[in-house]
Amino acid sequence: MIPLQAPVDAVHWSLAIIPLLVLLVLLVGLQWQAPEAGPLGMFIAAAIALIAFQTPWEGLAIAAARGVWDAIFILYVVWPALLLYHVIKRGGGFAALEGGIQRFSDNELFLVLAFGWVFASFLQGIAGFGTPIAVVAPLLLVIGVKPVYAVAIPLIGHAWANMFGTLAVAWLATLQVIPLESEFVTTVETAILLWIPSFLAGIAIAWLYGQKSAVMHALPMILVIAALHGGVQLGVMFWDPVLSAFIASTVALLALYPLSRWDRYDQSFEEIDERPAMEETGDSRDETEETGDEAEEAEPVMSFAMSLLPYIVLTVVAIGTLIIGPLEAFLEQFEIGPPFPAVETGYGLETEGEDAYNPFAPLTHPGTFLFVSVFVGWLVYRAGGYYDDWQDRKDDVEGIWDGLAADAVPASLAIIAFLVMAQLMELSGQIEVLAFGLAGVLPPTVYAFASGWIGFTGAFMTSSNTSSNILFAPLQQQAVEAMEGLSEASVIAGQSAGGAVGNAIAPANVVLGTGAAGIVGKEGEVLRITIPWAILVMVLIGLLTVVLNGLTLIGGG
Amino acid sequence: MNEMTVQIVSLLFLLAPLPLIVYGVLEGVAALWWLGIALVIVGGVIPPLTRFVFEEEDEETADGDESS
Repeated sequence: MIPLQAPVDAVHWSLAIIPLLVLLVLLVGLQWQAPEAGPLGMFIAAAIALIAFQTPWEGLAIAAARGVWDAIFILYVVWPALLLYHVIKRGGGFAALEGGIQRFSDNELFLVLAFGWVFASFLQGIAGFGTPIAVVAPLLLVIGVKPVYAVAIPLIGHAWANMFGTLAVAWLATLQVIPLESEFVTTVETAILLWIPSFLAGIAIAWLYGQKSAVMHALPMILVIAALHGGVQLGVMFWDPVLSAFIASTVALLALYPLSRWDRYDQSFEEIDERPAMEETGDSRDETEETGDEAEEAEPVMSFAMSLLPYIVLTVVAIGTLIIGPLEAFLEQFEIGPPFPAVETGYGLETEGEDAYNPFAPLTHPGTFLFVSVFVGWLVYRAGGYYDDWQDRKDDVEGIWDGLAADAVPASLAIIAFLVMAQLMELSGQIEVLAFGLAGVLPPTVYAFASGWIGFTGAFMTSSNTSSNILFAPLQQQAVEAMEGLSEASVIAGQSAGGAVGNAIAPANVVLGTGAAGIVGKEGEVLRITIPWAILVMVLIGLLTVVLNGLTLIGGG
Repeated sequence: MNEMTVQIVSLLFLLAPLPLIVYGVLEGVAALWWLGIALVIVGGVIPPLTRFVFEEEDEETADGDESS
């Protein structure tokens, strides 16, 4: 049997799932804004921890502090990413970007896939921590994507790259918490499973753009990009899993150039009657904040290349830090993390104390890369006089700091509340009860199917593939040891792939996107798009995990 | 006080407990981590409350605009 410290029974399982259900009902059902729904979920998780899971008050305090610290990781991407958006916008950079993108290709569908899927995946490969969503959502607005879709598309598009993106941080964390019998088989099976969210991201984004006719038009591009994402990632597993998502997403990004020269994607595609994701004309964020006519009339004050400058700086800094080993090693030396004592609940569930909890290396964090790009962009735009020129051309230009506060503050409230809630559920044993409850009642084949859903739930709660694997990989391994008929490699692969997909619906990721798109409060509308996609992907991942589990056992794994 | 100011105050209340709780639990100063819990509660209660307060204000403003 699986060793248990938390009270695994129907009553506690039902109580433990309440905070998650409340969050879903408030956000998706009642359309509450994330900053309003998050704290209620947090309070309910705290009350259940205190009353039903015998968590001491001091334990609640430690969970709250750990949650705030976890949130700082994400906020250190949110604030500079939004600052980047407002620094470019204040200088009229998005007007220039819009004109330049239209010259690159007249095919909107190609551009939406290029930014929302291929570029978002590339950013996940080099930066992660929500950077793809915060950076790509404003770019999609420039193309004319409606704000809710501009958030949903990169959430779907980047998900597959979560497991091995950012130098495979989630994979390395998994190896830290469990010794694996066969690392190679596990990475190969994970890469096979991750092919599903990559391929279905392309299909879903094309479908959102213009349904069946758009999917048919985009199919060759989708097949090429998905083959590169999935195939290259799988191929690199034979060499070094750490570089797999980075190399795969970079190759796919490079493939955009020859694809854009193909007549099929170089010219406008008119045979689409309905384009639900697109605004009629222009930058959809400008139209929601300003009068559309004025936004359309203002001529750019800078060149396309100049508007791209901060993004080029971001890419160069991130890749430079990533591939120059000694530089990364030097910058990683500076780490900070608060110490915490051990916590024990009344049921004997102990969380060990740590000298430095979840240490944070600010100099290699994507937030610092973003800050460098913000600083360089601001300096060049200011020296070039673009801020003055744009002010002269448009009367009602919003200040950088006003715009930043309006977007970042509500998003930050929600992110802190979600992560405190996750810590309360973890320290009190609610998460353990949810997962052990499933493991205790399911037969092996069904458990293989469910293994991905456990990872998916972990990522939904923590907005992190890494955190999900740290939380649940040990449990999954215990389940494999306790049951006949389960392959460790397949179950851990299912957990990892589920953790990647869960990022597409994680409320903290969603609110990061709504903040970047200037639509905080519309998280429910975004989730109504991403949840059906995520469920479909997870069903397929579950089925393929069952198949892989059977094949691995036959092969003696 | 407008909605943005209220949200900024709420954000500060949610961030402030981190050093208080860390110091309080490590040094055994219970008053500090209790203060941290109190700040989390206040900071967490504000955003859901603003839903109702500012919704009413918006409705009153809309009514005023219509009558004028």
